[in-house]
Amino acid sequence: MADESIYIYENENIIWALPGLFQYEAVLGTFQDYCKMLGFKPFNVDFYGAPATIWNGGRKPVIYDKLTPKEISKVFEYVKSNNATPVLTFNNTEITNESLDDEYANLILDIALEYNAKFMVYSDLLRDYIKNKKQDAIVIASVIKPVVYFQGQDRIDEPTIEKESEFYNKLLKEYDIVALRAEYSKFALVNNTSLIDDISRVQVLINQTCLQNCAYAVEHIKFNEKFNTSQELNYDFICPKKTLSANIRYMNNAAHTQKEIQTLIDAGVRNLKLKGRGGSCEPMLLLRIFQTLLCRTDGANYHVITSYPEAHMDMETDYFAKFIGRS
Amino acid sequence: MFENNTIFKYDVENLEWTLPCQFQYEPVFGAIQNAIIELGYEPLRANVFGAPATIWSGGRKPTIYRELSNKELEKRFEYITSLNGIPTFTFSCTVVEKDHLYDKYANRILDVAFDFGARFIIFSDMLRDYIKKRNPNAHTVSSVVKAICHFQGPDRIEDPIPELETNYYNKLLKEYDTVVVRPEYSKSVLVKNPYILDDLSRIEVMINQLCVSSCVNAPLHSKTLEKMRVKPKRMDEFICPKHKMPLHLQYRTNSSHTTQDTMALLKAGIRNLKLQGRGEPVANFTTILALSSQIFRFDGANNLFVRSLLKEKLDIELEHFEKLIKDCE
Repeated sequence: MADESIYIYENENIIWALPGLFQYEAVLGTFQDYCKMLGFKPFNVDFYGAPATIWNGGRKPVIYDKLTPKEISKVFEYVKSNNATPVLTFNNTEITNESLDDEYANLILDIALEYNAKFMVYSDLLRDYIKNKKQDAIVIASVIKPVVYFQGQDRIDEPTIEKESEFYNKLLKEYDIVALRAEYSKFALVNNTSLIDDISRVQVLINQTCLQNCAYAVEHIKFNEKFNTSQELNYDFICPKKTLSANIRYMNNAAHTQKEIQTLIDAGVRNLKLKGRGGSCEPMLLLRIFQTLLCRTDGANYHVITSYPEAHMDMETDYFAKFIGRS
Repeated sequence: MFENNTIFKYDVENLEWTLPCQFQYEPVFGAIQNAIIELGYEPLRANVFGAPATIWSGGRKPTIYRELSNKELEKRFEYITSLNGIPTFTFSCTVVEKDHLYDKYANRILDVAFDFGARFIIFSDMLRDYIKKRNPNAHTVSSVVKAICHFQGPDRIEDPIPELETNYYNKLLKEYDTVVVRPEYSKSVLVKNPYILDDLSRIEVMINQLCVSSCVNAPLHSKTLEKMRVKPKRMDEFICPKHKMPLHLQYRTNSSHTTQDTMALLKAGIRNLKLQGRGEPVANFTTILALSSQIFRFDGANNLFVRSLLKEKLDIELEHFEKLIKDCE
């Protein structure tokens, strides 16, 4: 008796933005192999991340050693061989004209452009810089832009549905793809998909588990950015979520249900994103997150997921290390 | 504050789960129930099944071969019942003889089990009658091994034609309190036409059967495992055909139920869902997720919160349970 498809969302045109570039590339290879081993096509993936550079934003980097051009190329080659596009998270909030000249960041950029990578960006200055280098480079407006704009003490505006829709529609004229705040997609867009002018070019973050509209989000982002130049800081950021009980955290976030995601897909959303994980996240956990959010876990599926053991990940990790010449 | 949807995959009243944790990995059950409670929900109604090594045991190879004291039995059952579970014994050996009925150890377990309202999964009608004689209120469950031996393998008594199999279960419903159906039957026959059975509320459906569908070796596998029911023994005479299959064939040739299949059965009135035991009897995170993936939704906030809470609870329950049992020594 044949079981059904492994895919939760049956749409070949969906692009999944998954974390792990310059972090855990072997997770991508293992995940795509898992699909192929079951006789299914691998997912279309934008694989995002960046090593430590002055343009970085989002999560704290994992790789601080300066990579050689050959290593950088090899990483991109590996990613592309796994049906994925590299996406550099150059979404630092403090880009200046001076930082545009950074040698290492430009080295990565030049190689990335050769591999038709995409770029997740906060700074319009950096966006223009990239587009000047290559007009058809795809630039994504990072979710940090609306977070800084609509959240925290220094927010520029209140996140009303009208104002936020206007914000994204304006960004759609300036960027190729626009990442939405999860609060907006879950509570506004799901109920009215005509709020956005071109829904095929927005990106929806489906597993945001931060507190909704967290007032500390911007502070957290700025804290993470300090790690671009220093591996350790003499102070820590205390996430307010960590002080709350499980059921409060569970009730107070903007993670999307399958029904909500399907509604958005049916309306034309084609870019779905899983949020990044800190460097302390184990590769197997990241793999299980990919498997359980992109693939069905009913029927025989969960058994198959767990039958795909750690040994495969270990093999892929060794293979990747040899591939980039770091074994 | 906005509420996320329920954590459960199947949000149905009076649903009972039969879970493979007794005498094997009770802390997994404890972790699941405690996670549910912490998230603000009622714990599952659960029959927690398994058995230590006894002359009546069947199903999986036991993990506990030493003779358990009454104190330890009570502690284990108290642990399960305190978490809204019912201890359920897999006394499903296919070769119970009259002499075996009077086994001292098995009867001692029975005495303690009765005090805790335990249930009994049984193959042998003779053992059923014996248990009922000792306690007329004891709840007996007709093991899936009965149906497997009847309909599968070279020595099968009948071919698994839907009509014959339906008559078989309807007959068993007159003799047992609950009847477990073969997953091949529930998936391919019952899902399409549930009302052919006389009392769906007393039918139990195994939703995560991963064996090759209608495997001809299944009766032999059960009988081989039984040989280890009293003493551990190398199982070198049985090779599961599934282990030679590539992953994509394993995925396509089993009778595990999709969410849609299970919902159709629940809609028709099924209220007993069973999860099969694990080959590796280990109380680890993989085991807990394998069970949880069938019970909980993994979308929305569930994916992160439920999973991380389960991990946290498992660590606590492992320590707690170990101490509980150690105090019995």
